[in-house]
Amino acid sequence: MREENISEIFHDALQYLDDEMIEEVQALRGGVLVEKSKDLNLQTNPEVETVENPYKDDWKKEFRPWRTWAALAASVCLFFIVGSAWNNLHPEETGHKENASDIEMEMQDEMVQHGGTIGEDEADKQDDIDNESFQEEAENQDGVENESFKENLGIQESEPEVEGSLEDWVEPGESDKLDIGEGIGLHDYSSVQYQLKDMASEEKKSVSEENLTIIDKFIDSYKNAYENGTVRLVDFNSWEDVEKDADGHLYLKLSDGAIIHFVLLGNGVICQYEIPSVWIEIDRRVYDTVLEVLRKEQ
Amino acid sequence: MTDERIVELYWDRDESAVAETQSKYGRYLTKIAYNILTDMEDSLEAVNDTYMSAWKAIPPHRPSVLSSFLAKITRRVAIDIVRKKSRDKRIPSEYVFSLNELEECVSDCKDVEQRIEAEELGKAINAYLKTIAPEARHLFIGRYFFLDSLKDVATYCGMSESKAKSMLYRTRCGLKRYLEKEGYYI
Repeated sequence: MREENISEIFHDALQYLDDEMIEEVQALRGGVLVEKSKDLNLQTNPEVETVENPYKDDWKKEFRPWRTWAALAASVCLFFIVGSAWNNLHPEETGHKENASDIEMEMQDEMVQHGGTIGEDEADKQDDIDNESFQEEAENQDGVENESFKENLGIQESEPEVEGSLEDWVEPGESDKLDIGEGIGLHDYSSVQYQLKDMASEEKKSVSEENLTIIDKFIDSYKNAYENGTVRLVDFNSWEDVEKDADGHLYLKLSDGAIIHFVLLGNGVICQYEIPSVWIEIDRRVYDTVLEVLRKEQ
Repeated sequence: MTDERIVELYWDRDESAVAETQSKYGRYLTKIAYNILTDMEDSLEAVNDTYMSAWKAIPPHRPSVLSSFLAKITRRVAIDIVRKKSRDKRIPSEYVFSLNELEECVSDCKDVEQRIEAEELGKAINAYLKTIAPEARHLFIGRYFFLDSLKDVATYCGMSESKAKSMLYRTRCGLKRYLEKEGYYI
């Protein structure tokens, strides 16, 4: 009952909100709209005109369904690869009996190219080659996918002109997965997070004491979580949707509904993760892509 | 009819002021009342009380923004009605749901030494809302002043419900920190 009384005080306090702030929201609600009368003055009165929601569908104009197109392209490639393999394996069904020897020659050449050997189990070998080809295709497609994504967002390949950027803090890694201490760990809903790599003394000078303490504290916390196996990985497979708001903030929505909020601030990126007390580690490609987008929008 | 003209009618003690107010703001005020009361009959009664209160208040008052002035009256009247009715039994309304959410702004301190005057607290909340992004401010006011459902607020702010929910959560946390920093201990 005590809490209810206090919450009721809050509601009473809201009676004293500024009229201008209330009016802003009224315009969005469209609650003041009445049927337009023939009175011209009324029609020009902004209070009775519908205000189009400025935020509506903004993000949809910026982002393309690149994942859908990438999936479609991958499916088409797979179709042709499987179809080609089927034709090679069953020439009699495809009516190419008279050319069987030519096909066999082609298979031999292909196997040699991919380092395979010709033996009794040619069907299995052919499967291995096809799998390898497909793997290469998939990896290439992955790169193309990222490139298409970047292209659609208008991200330029040239280095952004930002002094003391985060790239100075973290060396570009060759692998997609990030090791402990080099990743972009996020923790605690309301805190500002920085990359966890140990900074050089020069860089530390530009960071306030308070933030330095925060960073050190989170490095330890992150390491503990990693050792306990409670760090959650976020990569291109685990995010479902991206939204961008009118202020240029980016929201990454994960498949379970959790949201990561990115916003550029100075030379760094503020990341806020919805669920507190849970560590997440962001894949390098995801982070770089987000960073590029935010810098472009700045 | 413009707001200025309607206010002039009140000042002239012209009873058509109420009719014009009803014509222009009737649905708007009813929605605010219904969000709180979830009963149409009670809502219409609250709106009628609003017209009566406006008639008594103008003059001497001359509201600069008539719509906000009326919204505050309706909100006050509706909340008073629901408090009378629901002290002992809960009425499922957005007002009641929002009470649960705003409990998060209350600290865990068990020894409450003093209660804060609503007006002073209102000033503090005003000051805080001016420091946050417009988007977050619109969400907060839509949810806790107009007492619209989370879904409605998210819709007219142009975002998903989950994003609205997380943004509201962050705003409440920020408000709590701000109030504690300003010396308001609840």
